Amino acid sequence: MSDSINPKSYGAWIAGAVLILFSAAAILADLLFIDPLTQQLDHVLAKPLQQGFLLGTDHLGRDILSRLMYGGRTSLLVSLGSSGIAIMIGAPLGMIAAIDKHRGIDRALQLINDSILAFPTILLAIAVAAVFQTGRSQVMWTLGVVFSPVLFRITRSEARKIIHREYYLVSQLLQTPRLIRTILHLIPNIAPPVLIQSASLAAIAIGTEAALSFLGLGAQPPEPSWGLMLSDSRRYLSTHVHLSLIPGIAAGLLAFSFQYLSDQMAAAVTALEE
Amino acid sequence: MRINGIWLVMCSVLFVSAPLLHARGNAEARRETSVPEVVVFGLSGDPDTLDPQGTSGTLTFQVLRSIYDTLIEPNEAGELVPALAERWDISDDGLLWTFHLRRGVVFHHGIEFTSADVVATLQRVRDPAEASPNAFEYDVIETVRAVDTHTVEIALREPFAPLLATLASGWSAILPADLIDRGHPFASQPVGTGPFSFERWVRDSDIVLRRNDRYWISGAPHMAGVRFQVITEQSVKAQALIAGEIHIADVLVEPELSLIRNAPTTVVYESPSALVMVLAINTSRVPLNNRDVRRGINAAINKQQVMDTAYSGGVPVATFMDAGNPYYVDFTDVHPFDPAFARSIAGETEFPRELVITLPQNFEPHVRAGEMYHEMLRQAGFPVRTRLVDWSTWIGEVYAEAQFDLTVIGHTGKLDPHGRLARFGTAETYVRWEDEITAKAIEEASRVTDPEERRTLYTLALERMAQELPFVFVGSPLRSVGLDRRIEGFYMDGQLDTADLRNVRFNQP
Repeated sequence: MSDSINPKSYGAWIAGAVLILFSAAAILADLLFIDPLTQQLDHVLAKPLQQGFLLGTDHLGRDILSRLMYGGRTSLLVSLGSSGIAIMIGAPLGMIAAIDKHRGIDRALQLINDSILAFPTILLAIAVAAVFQTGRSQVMWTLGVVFSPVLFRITRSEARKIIHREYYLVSQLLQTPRLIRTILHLIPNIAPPVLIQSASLAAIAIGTEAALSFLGLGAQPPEPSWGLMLSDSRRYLSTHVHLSLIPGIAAGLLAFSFQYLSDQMAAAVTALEE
Repeated sequence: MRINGIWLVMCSVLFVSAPLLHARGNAEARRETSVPEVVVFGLSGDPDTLDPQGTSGTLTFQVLRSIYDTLIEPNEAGELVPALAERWDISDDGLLWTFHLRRGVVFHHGIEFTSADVVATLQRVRDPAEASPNAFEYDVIETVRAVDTHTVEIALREPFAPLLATLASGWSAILPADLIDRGHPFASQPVGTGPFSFERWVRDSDIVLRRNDRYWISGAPHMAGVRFQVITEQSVKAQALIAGEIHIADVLVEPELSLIRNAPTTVVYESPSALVMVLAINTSRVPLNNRDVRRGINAAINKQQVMDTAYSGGVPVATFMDAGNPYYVDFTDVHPFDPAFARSIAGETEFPRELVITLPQNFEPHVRAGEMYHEMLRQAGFPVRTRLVDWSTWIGEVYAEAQFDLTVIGHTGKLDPHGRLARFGTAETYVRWEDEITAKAIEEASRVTDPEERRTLYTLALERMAQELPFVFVGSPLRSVGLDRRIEGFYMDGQLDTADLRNVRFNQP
């Protein structure tokens, strides 16, 4: 436990470095000047460092490094986007539920909240894909909606704690407008746990996005996506392991880094409070 | 604490010994199979039923081919030759067909095969109560009459040349009349005259057949039995073949194909398939209703490359007929591969939105081909994207309702060209392509019996299709089956899509 309390541990640096590296790779993918869609059918299934391909090529002769970088863009967009959407939906509603005096809105929101939570994520994504279309933004919105109850609950319980604190009651007695009260007292206190939780959600989103693409419900081929890369390479597991390892390790590392940073933030906040 | 220690030891012994025992068992099993008596066929799924008249499923016919016989059957050259019928005559007006049946054929339950069985079988397949999915092919039959114990007369409403092919198809498997009368459950306990008799079916596991010692071809079958082992996962099936657990692995594609080809104990059996792989075009949608746009799409596709990379090899075709078919005509020069032409068409055309290529997700080769079409069309400048759908959505939206722009699929063949071509040229097909010349030629060809006249009519229809391009006709793939190296006499019927196991035997090492 000692290193998780110490925010200066190497782990945090490594996790941060991975996040920065992956973000840079995703943003700068265009500078690679290798199109992730171009099929070089005379260079199919090249091994890493062979025939001039750093990470080799896949079964249709597409450059793996380029697909990995562009796929990282999809993963980062979906994970950050979905946790962003979850914050936008969950946090305001959580605060509304907490400050609702008559409990009517609170009860209604709780009911909706519980019904979303009752749905398995993948099943909900299948339903969304059936009603709308499949694709990156659908996955982002689906995950955003699915994740929002988690943030709703945290916001609601934190906010309910705060509205019983003395400073909040005092500001209530002074008849500070509700909006200003919220901005001054609620948001700054709720922000840390919400951010910690959303970093953890981003980690889950990496895995779920890959799983949905693997099932054909997310990014559509030939769009570069780690889940699709894993799905394509499954048949080559016995002959070309690197095809599965490369996107698998990338997704694992990114998810781990998000989760680790989330833990570190939580530890730092606890340390501060103490 | 003491008891815990003993448990720990016992458990470790168990865990260590179990895999060892298993490995030993496997090694013994392999040594025993030096010359197997039963051939094991790796089937890619469990059949929905074993009633030959109650399904359209290939898996069912794959099994029933060894249990039942038909009056007529295709030989290796694709000609229709006598089986349970020794010979047949056709009246001059083409309306009365007389079949002279083989004598001395016995059903698995010991009753002799006579004309009553043919009458009862053809009645059963046409019986609305049986609801055979293929009953429409028999609509043209007016009456079936037993002249004597070994002669049957079939009277038609109108001349119908594909009748012989219909009688040679799996749906015309001859069932025993006495069991039909008694309402025997053919769906789970098939009884026929075939080379092997049914023994047991454990759902989702295996189907076991035993040799029919009284089979009408003397000397056949060679094996004491057949076991159809259900293995749904391709890679598992390939590994089972290499390990010697199965001897025949149904249809294989890459990458498993290379694995089988390179393994020392296995070989790949290749036969031309009756499939035509296509990029189907919805000709009712703008701008795909314009033939020039379809020509542009066709010109962007490198067919040989798609056949090699996505479909593990095959022959490019340019019309709606498989390259090995007697009715096939080579039209590959009509609209050749021409990327420059494709680019000019893509540049001239106004697209109201992106063209969507709908891909049936469960067929990996089609998805792979779809990704290649996407890239080839994108390089030519066509605005395209793909959409993966599951099989039921494909059948419902694409095939039944024509809700698509472009889609990737393979069309299976039938013994007679009519089976593949029926209804094309009319608005009833999913490509919504209407062409009076084609529709008329196909309709007429089913009514004439003269082979040369039929060929002329079909050639006309196929040429129209090659010119008008309701599909990008891509090619007919090879059908690859993995075999144990010691197997001899295996034959895969390209048109019926079923394996003939009558002559299968293992050569001595």
